[in-house]
Amino acid sequence: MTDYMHAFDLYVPASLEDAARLLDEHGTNAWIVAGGKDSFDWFKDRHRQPQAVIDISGLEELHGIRDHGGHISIGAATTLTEIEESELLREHFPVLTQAAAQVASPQIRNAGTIGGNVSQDARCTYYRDGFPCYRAGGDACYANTPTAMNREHALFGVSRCVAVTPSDTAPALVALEAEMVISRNGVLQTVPSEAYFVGPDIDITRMTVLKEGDILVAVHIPKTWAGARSYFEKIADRQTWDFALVNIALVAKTEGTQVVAARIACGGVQCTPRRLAEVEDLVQGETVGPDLETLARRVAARGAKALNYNQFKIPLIENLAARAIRSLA
Amino acid sequence: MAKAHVTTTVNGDAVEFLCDAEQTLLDVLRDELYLTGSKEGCASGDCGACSVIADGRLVCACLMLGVEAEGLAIETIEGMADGDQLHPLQTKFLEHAALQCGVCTPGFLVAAKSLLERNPDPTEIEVRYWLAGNLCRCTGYDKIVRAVLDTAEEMRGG
Amino acid sequence: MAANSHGKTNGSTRWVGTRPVRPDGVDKVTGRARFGADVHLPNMLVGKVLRSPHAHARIHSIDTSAALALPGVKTVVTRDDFNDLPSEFVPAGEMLINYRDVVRNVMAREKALFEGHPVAAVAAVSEKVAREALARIKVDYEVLPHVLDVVEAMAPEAPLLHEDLITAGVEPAPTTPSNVAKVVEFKLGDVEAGFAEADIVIEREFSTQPVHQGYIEPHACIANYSEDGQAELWCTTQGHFVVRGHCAKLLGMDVSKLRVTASEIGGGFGGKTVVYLEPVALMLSRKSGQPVKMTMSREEVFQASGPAAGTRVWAKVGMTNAGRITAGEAVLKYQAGAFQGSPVQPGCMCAFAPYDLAHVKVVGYDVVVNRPKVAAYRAPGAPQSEFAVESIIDELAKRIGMDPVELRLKNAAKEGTKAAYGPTFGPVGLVETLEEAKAHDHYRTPLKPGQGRGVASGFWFNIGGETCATLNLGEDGTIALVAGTPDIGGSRASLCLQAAETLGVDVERIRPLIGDTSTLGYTFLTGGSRTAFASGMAVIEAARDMIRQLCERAAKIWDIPVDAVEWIDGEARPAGSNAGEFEPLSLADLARLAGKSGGPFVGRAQINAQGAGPSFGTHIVDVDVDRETGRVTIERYTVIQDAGKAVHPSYVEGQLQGGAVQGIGWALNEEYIYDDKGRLQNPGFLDYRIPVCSDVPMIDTVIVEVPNPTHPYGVRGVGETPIVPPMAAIANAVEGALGLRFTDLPMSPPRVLKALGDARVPKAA
Repeated sequence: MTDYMHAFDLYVPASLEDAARLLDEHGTNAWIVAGGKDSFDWFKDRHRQPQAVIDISGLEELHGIRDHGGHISIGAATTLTEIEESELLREHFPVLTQAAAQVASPQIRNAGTIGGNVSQDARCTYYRDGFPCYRAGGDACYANTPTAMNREHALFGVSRCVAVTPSDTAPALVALEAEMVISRNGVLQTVPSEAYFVGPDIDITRMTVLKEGDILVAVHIPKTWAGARSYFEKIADRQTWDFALVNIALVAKTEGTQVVAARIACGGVQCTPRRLAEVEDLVQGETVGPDLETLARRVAARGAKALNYNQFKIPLIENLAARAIRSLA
Repeated sequence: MAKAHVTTTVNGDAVEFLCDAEQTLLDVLRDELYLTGSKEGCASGDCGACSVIADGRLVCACLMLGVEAEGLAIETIEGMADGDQLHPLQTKFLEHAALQCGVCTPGFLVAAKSLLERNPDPTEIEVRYWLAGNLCRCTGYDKIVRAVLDTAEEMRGG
Repeated sequence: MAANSHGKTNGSTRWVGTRPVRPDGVDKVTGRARFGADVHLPNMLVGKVLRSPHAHARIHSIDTSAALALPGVKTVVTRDDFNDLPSEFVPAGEMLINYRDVVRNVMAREKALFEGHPVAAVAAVSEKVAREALARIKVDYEVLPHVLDVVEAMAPEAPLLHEDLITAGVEPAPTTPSNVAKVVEFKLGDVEAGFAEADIVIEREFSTQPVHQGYIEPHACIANYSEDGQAELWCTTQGHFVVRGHCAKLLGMDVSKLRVTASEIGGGFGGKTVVYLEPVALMLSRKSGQPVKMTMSREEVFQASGPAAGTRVWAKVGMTNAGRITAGEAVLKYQAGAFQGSPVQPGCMCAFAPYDLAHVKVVGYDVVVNRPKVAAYRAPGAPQSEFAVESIIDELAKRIGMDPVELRLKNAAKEGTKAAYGPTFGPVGLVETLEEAKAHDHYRTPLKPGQGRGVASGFWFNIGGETCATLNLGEDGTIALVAGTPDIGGSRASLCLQAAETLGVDVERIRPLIGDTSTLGYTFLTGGSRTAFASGMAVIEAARDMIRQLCERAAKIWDIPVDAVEWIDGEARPAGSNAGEFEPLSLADLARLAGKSGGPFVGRAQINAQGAGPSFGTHIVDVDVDRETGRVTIERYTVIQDAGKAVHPSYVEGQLQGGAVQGIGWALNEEYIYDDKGRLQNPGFLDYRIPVCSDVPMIDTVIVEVPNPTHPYGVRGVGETPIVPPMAAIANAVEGALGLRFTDLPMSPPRVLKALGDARVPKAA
């Protein structure tokens, strides 16, 4: 029954310090919620039953989109709708506003936050369904077996676990070289977005560097790619609403039809947003056209290892890379 | 923990209620306040039948805690008509036969109202993507989309 | 009496065919309408069901003591509370169910046969306590091997669901049990001879996934059992009389002691024709002495309520080079779920029904598997078999370079065609829908590059059946219309229009309600596309009954013979100058005078409606297939269907549009995903993907009206046929776009990409 949640205590801290204190106090029993979209899903499935739920959505310092000159900061509790509708972001980083606009439905985007979107947990149905898998602290992977359904799982970076990052905004932030600001032990730390997302080889029980007591406070996006050409596309089972099978975010600086520099990241193909570094290298200095698309297609999925049911993601990532390049023409 | 005492506004009326931390706003509306116009189709934010407007934002009441309503203005389907005057969307839904069983209808109306407040002149595509968080299994959406577009035109004075 | 005193029309109608606002409309747009879960009773308990986590397990014991010991828990129900019932088949919608199985489906007995199978239920003071109680029930399961796939279930070594299941329909009867419950066969002519006449023969194997009806309102009910053995039940259902019958049987009650009220129903599509929670709620209420409310979560709906059968269908069609279909043959293997009773029989009957064929043979297998028992879903059985046949017809047309509409026209069933399943068709509208298709702007508009166009036709029988209706004339001349078929999509509007037409009064003066089981005689459920037809016939009959009474009263008032009175335009008039000079007496006049002139007026009808007209439809769809992403986009869609007579055209259009979009979901996205332990991995609307608003375009409709001669206004049922053609129409369109024929559903982006990849490999080699 997915229609109710376990009993818990709700705390609404008045400040970041207050929140940090509560987290410290409750340790592994604590759970942070902001928009609650992923959290309540977990609670309703009852595979997570934390006693102390700490609602940080009201904290002033976690809200707002601000221009700091060299970078733009986005408070972690800023909703996806606020991002989608931000003129400032649309002008500087349309790849992010497009990505935010493609998350789920208006109802979800109105409550769901950027912090939650980049920190949400793996969508692997076996993991979500409470199977004692590696990620859940067990000693097996139920998705990577001869009979398992794994069409939504990873092509790359498999290390026992085959779950993928489900986020739409994460690849956009990785492409944009965003930095994540984390409050840890009362101190703010900055982590590059690529390092923020962690694969199972580093820590199989987490999707991000966030550990107990940590709070994601903000995302900083340097203006390195402000105003650059960009492309975002999400392929899912339906035209909207679903999690991505594969998504792609590209930012590029061009002169005419020549690519000066590009950064490309994909979601849905490994546990973290995957930089298409080979494609980036390949296109640098080249002229956009069918030949470049063909070359991009050739290297985009290099190293991919398909599971039983996700072979289709290989042509998909290749084709999306080609389309992203094509968009620069 | 003792039940929380929540003071909020529902459809313009000051309302107080007690609820457990884990009770959703939908549970509170339906089971404590007996406002059963908001429906539970999935309890997981997937069907939109419980759509309400919280301080101007369209949300799924099933994915919001009752205590989060503290201090907010909540609008539900029960508050959509003004006395005996139906909202134009309600009238157009009836004229266009934009409902069959009617269980998704409150959610669609609330979502459509929220759309028109933000965008009084939506295209068909904008209507379709905005309403993508609301499931209807009866109508195939055709008449719903037409009703919303027609309402928008009428409300613009077209 | 003049012909029009029976409310007959001379082809022109005043109310039937108009589009008034539905009488229940305002309640539905204001949130006032009360659905299954919207009612609270004083002193009410909450009931919750404990469900099997295993797909197949023997239940050795159930220990409920710890649950009962929990404060706030009032009672617990298990298999021990329900008496076993002997095998007895009774109709449920267009399907049959067996009481022996119903009692086991409601509460597992010897074994749990699917994940989600109810094993126990509790009633407690709150939902929280009820849930806690469930966690305290100890069930000793012996997990058994399970089987989900229909072909695997037919294999000799397959795990047996029912150790006593002997295949019916086979001579001589098998001596050992199997998972094949029944074999059915329909034959016309000699298929071997038919195939010998053919120049081209195509055979293919197809598969379809189980799909859920996907009604947005989960099952819900409140039972209130009194100490004197009488009970009330409020529930969301397509047929409260049927619920009453099943519940009374399972609880050992007289039907007269159980009053069932149908709430507003939030969608059903066939899925709310059976009982799940209702007998359990009644039993919990009987044992606790308090009202008990039960609702299913969406997860429970997916795990434990009826999907449509997943199928494997082999079909073979032969044709001459001139486009004459010479023979059709098919073998249908349908999943029944945990208990026998898949719709394989209607699947067999419908497979070739759109065609006038001399030689047909269809064999069907009803196969039990460890999944929830299938329930009716809109034209149960037909979409699966017609998907196969309509796909092959398209391929045949391409093979000889004939337009697929033309090929269908050449072979279309029409009045006088003997259908393979037995009857000879009366007036039917397939040819008319095909002609409309050919002439439609959609069919003549050139496709854009990358697009494909598909057409397919579909057939459904439609049914009539036992039906009652009452019209109560109020003292001010307004009328309360009482019907017994729950209104699932606007039928109250349609019934009022038919009553208004017959009585000759303004439709606004008629207020409808769905009566409970004690206010009307037995009325079969809303299903089989029968409501506008059969309840319509009953309402017309009741109106005629009232007209007879009104004419008699006018005759009495005027003191003239009754046959000198006629009923025209809502008033009694003297029939011609010989009858005398009297001012007409309107319905309102007679109502006002009722008390003084002899008493109130009540029009009644109790009928067994016969002669439901079958409905044919033809769909045209344009798709765009993105070869790079595998995404199939429905660019344009047109539904053309024979409604006989559209009583309220807006709601007929709605049926056509809604059915088509359900078919689009079936074709493109919907499927059940099970893990290797037989547990459903996508029991929610996020991963069980029904179409959302942005997935579909406007759905154009063309209503063809070939009147059904048995209905006074020519009405045919329309609700089910529109889900039959979409799967083949879309597969045919995808074939047109890609040159690849999909025989397995759904055609989701991953599967389309895979097929494109598979197609590329041999070319490269």
